[in-house]
Order: sequence, then C-alpha cells, then structure tokens
Amino acid sequence: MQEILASEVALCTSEDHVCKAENLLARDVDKKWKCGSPCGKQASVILQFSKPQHIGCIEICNEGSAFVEVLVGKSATPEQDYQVILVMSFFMTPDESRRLTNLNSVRTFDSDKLSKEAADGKWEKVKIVCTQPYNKSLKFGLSYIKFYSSSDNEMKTPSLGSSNVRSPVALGKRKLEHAGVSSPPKKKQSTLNFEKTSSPLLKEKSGENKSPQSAKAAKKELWSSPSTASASATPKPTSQPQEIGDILKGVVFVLSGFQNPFRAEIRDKAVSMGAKYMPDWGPNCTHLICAFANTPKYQHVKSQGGCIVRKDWVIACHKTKQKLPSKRYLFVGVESSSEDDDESIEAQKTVEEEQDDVNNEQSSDSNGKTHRKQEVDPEKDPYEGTTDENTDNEAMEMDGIDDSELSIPELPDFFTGKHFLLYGTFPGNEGRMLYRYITAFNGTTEEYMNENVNFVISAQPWDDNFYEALTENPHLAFVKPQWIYSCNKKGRSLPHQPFVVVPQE
Amino acid sequence: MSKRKAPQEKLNSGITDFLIELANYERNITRQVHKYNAYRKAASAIAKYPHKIESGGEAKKLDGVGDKIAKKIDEFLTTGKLRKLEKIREDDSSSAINLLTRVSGVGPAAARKLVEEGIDSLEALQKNEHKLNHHQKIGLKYFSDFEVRIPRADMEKMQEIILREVASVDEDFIVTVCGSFRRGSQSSGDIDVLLTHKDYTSDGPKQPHLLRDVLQHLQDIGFITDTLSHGDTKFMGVCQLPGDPECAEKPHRRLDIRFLPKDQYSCGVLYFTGSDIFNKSMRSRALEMGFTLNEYSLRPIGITGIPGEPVPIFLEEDIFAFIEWSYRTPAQRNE
Repeated sequence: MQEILASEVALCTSEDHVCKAENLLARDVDKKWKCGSPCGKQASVILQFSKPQHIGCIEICNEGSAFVEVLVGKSATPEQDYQVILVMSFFMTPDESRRLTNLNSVRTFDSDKLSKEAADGKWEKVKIVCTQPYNKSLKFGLSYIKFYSSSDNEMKTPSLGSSNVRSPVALGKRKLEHAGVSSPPKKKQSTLNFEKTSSPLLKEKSGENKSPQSAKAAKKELWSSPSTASASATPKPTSQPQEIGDILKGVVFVLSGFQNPFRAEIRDKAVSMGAKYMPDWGPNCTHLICAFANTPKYQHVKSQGGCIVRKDWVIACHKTKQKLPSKRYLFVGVESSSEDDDESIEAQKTVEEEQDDVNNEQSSDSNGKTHRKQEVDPEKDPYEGTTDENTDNEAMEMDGIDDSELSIPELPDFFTGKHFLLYGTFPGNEGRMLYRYITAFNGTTEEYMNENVNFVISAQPWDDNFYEALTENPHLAFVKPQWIYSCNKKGRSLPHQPFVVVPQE
Repeated sequence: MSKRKAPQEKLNSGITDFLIELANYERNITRQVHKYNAYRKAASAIAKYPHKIESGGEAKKLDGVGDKIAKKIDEFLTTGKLRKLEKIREDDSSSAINLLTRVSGVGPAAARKLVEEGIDSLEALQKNEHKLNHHQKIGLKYFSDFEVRIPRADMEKMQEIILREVASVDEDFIVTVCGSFRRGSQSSGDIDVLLTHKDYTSDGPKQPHLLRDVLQHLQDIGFITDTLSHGDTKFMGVCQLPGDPECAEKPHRRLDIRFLPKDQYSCGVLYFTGSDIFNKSMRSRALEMGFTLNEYSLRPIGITGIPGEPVPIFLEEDIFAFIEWSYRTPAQRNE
C-alpha cells in the first residue's frame, strides 16, 4: 500500500479563508478544509493527481460533516459523469451535529468498502462531497483525506474464469471511454473522430463476439429515440424455432426487483420455456433477471460473477421462440451514462447499422417472416375491458410505439421525490404530454398547490398568483415546459434555472 | 400479503365501503395494484374527514380524491348505488375470486386459476384439497377462525405469552409485536412479531438456530399449533391461546415471526408497524431529505443517485431524526 499524493486542488465549491481547500494537500490533522459561510448543506472539492492512479484504500478524518462521498474521474471527464468510488458514508448523527460532538472521527475504507468497478480503474481526479444538513451554522469539511494505491492491483483484475461473460462488456466500455471522452477538447471534432476511428474496431469486435456494446446501445436507445429502438430491441432470429419447453432448458434463473403481477409473468414465461426458477442465487444458477441495478441480489450476483440480464431477454426469447444470446441483454451498470449522450448515440448508431448488416446476412428471408408473425401475441387481460381508465395502452399508442415490440423500456427516475404542479393551460396536447413525462421519470404531479410542490410548470408568462404562491412557499420554482422536454431528450435531470419564468416589468 | 381491512369509521361509511370494495376488486380481479392503492388512499382520506360528505365536489378537495372518484361519489350519493360495482357484483367469477382470496395462502392469481377450473366455493375447495399447497390447506382448515378479528385483550394476552416465553429461551432476545396492534387498534387481523438477538448483526453469520430454538419452545408449550412456512429468518404459522376451563376453545390465529439482524431491527419495526400509508409518506419524506428508506435500512443518496451506506439506527427515533421529522408514536401513525 503506497500513499498517493494529490498535486493540486482543481475545484472547490466553498472554503473558509483560513481553512482553505489547499490544506487537504498537506494531509495533516492541523490543516483542515472547511467550507466558508454561508455553508449550505453540501460542499465539494476536486483534487488532482499528477498521473492516473489506482485507488485501493481511502482514509478520512472528518471535520463536522455528517456524510462524505468520494467520486473519481479522468482529466477530461465532465464533472457530472464522475463515478462513485466510496458511496455516501456516515460520520455524524443529527444529534452529534447539533451538539458539536464527535466532529473528527476517522474512518478507513479498504477495497471491499469501495466500488469494485471504480477501484479497478485508474483516475486522475477525485471529487469529495461533504454533506451536513443538520447544523446550518457549522462550518464543515475534512481534517484530511488520504488515498492509498493497492499494491496488489495486478492480482485484482477480474479473473476470467468466473466472470468471462462480463469482462468483454467492461473492456468494450473502457475502449469507448478512451476513444470518446478523453479525446481532444473540440467537441464537434471528437465526435467525428470517434465515429471514424472506432468503427473498424467495433466492427471487428462485433464479428468476434456479437458486440457486447449493442446491449448498451439498446438500452440507451430505448431512452432517447423510440424510432430506432425497435431495431435494436427486436433481435433477429438466427435459427429455427424449437419446441417451446426446450428453449431455455438448462437455464436456472433468479428474479430481482420485479413486483407482481409482472414478476409472475416473467417467471411463468421463463418456466414455460423450460427454465428453472430459484428464489435465491445459488451455485447452480445461470442468470439473474433484474429490474434495475443495485438491488441486493444484483450486487451479490455481480460479486459472484454471474450473468445479469434484463427482463427483455426472457420476453424476446418467448416472442421469438428461441434462446437468444443473453449478451445483448446484459445489465450495464448505472455507470453506463458516463459518456456524453450525443456522442455515444452517434457511435451506437453506426454499431447498430453494422450489426444489422451482419445479422441480415445470417438470417434467411423465411425466418424473418415467421418472426414477424409471432410478434402478434398481445397478452390481453380478460378483464381489461371492465376497467374504466386504460391510460397505459393509450399512452403507448400515442407515441406510435408498438408495445409488444418494445416490451416496456426501463425509464430513468430522476424526478423522484420532486412534486410538480401544472399551472394554467397548455397548447394542444401539451398538458397531457408533460404529465406523462413527469410520471415517467417518477415525479409526482399535484393537482392543487400545496406545501409539497417544488416546481410549477407554466407555459404562460408571470402571473400575480405566483407572488401569492411564493409567500406561502418561498422555495417554489416556476419553470417553462421546455425544461421537461429537454430533460426527456437528454434522459437525465438538467438544471431548471435556464428555463425559469420571471416576472415582467 | 395480509388481507387489509377497511379503516373503522362511521360518518361516510357508505362511501368508504364502496371504495374499499372497488379497491379489492382492483387488487384481486384486475390485479392493478396502483388502482387498489388509489381507492384505498381516497377511502382513508374520506374516513378521516369529520363531516358527512354531501357531494363529489366536496370530497374532491381531499387529498387522494380526484375527478373519477368524485364522480363515483356523486353517483353513489344521488342513486344510492354504483353501476360499476353492480356490474362487478353480478359477475359470478369475480365474486368467487374475491371469496377464495379470503383463504390464507390463496392470492389473486391462485384464486383466478381455481375459479377457472370451476372451483368457486369453499365446499368445492374442500373437495379439491389436493390442488392446494400446505399453506392453503391450513388456510382452509381455519378459514372461519382467521376471518375473526382478534380483540385487543387477546392480543395483549398473546403478547404477554410471547414476551415471557421468548425471554425464557434467552434473555438476550428482543421482541416487538408490530402491526395495527402496536398502533393501538382495538382489533387486529393477525399477529406480527419481530425478533432480534443481541448477537445477531447483518455483517455476522446468519444464526437460524436462534429462531429455531424460539419456535421449538413455542411449539412445546402448545402456543404454536401449525407451521405454514419456516425459513432462516421468517416463520409463518398458526397459534392459539390456551382456552379457559369453562368456555370453548379459543380461535386459531395467524402468527408471523420475523428474525432480523439487530442493526436492521428498528427499520423493520417501523416498517411492520405501519400503517402502510404512513410508511409511504415517511418514505417520501426520506426521499425529500435525500435518503432512501426501506424495511432494512436508511441510506443517504449520493450526488449521482447511488444510495450510500446504511446509517446506524438504534431506535425508531433515530430514523425520524435523520430525516428531520418530529417523532410520531405508533398511535400517531394511523394514516
């Protein structure tokens, strides 16, 4: 274990005029970093290493923070794409924060406490985020933070024996990152470069092992552009249909993160194709079918090197009546959003096209036709007709997405915990669209103004009612609908400030 | 899933009754859990409302009552009935499914399957016992016992037995009877017991023998009469109070015992005390404050949305403190 020294402070959101962020470079208990006043709830600092480093162990001595989180990135990584290496970790209780006790506890986080994926990489920057929501007047920060490289990092690279399914994805991903993100500063140019230089490379790969990137591509595309999604989400059959009960013979699967009745549906589909269901992961299990990353089972199976796939795999196998390679449906971790959206979509499109070409050559015409026929198997709920609001179906039709083909994309949920009020009238169908977007990203819409509302979405100019609402709830933000649309386009939460509605003089 | 009962109230019972009936229909027949929750939320809001509701518009002011439900209330208030409900009630298969789901262990899916096979009454179920699993057989055996709510006095007696007997196995056990009983309700549907032990933590080994010892003892003294399922951390079964010499045997009751690591115990106690609607509002408060709360832990959410490490929780009060809510006693968690 060798200590890694940071060479400079790249960024600091707030610092005291005595306890400056630079003090962290000294790694001395007497030289602290504290945020300046007013401190707010959160303060962060980015430290720079002189060269890319493995981080195998982190030691933190606190200075009044309730929680500390550490993220890592490369020089060119935009700040919002840093990966978490140490999840938000506990240092002080609310009570201690108020009574100013236990201000300087020391915790050491070794490799099993750090995110495995981030600990495997090499990083030039670390971002430290300190949070202290419980004491508004306390200047908080860190006494020191020390990083150690793992001396045995050669041993640490994933053993190919157990995780050979995952490692191509990881390799592929790293390639993308190198090619796409850490390339020259001019953005336009880098996009072009990337397409040209990386295509042959990717093509080679896809010929070799059926391009693991396309699994990721499929996921991305579902979020961003529905029109092209069907191309990647519907696999092309490569062999003759089999006896239904034999399709998934030998597959032993575990489910995670699904709720009934969906859970039962997936289980029944897989079992009907000859797979075996197990409630918990065991040595004989072959697949974990997961609704989203970071469920306890997901973490467990990941650490065992098991194969983690999305439900779409089962659904697609069932639809095409054959065992499709699960590689396309592999779970790509939450870090998958680490590349710039536009670039990666461009890149993936080219991968996609090539992929299609390869597939078209392989699959004969007749197969294509039988495949299309089998798609028409809407599993209608016999009682559906008696319910009064079938909004789900309508919603799907409105976008022109054939839901039997898309099999319910996973939606990002960056509006979680946010409450919206749609104010006034919206042209055409916009009100309904907004409502759908907000719900889709797990936001809550309120029908009436109440203390929960965070955002008022309005297509109209400033209104006197807004003043009134502000006196009741000073934290309200009045935002134009464009914000929601832009969030949808990007597939992530964007700052709302550029879209606010302001009073007219 | 336990079979939830309607909140107890009087003023607007006509409205809340039909909402609960619609809720159960959505859960059992159409299997649309969100609609089920929506109806229940509305029913609970109306149950709390201190006036007799005169119109749908009046009800619409309440949280959880929207356009559709307000219209249904108007229809109910003017005509005294609801076409949607009449239609549902006329449908034999849906009332049969509703009936069968009242058997412990028979969920909506199993009930529908049985009804499709022509089994639409308890008598038919008895004749086809071979189609039932162990849990369902016991559910059928004690069908009428399980339908009876447990008076608070009986709950207290059972609590006393459980606390005493568990302590006699090992002083280091900690036991809490959760559910609506802990919230002070006058009657309960079943007994929900949480158990932990001084030496059992989530980073140590599982200690199934601890739970096994407790269960063995409760069986030996005749308190536990049947086992529905028994794993390393969860027991589901049936228990019975000893009968008085002069009167008849006491009814059998559903008993669940969950064995939790000590560090997850308080989150478990909070969760299993409910109410479920209170739990939802607590979880959304946690989210607002940047935390994610579940039955195991409270974790801060990092800037990228990844949940952090569980914060140390020793008491339920700690959970409230972290999300900066003033503590609510179990009795204050009824909605």
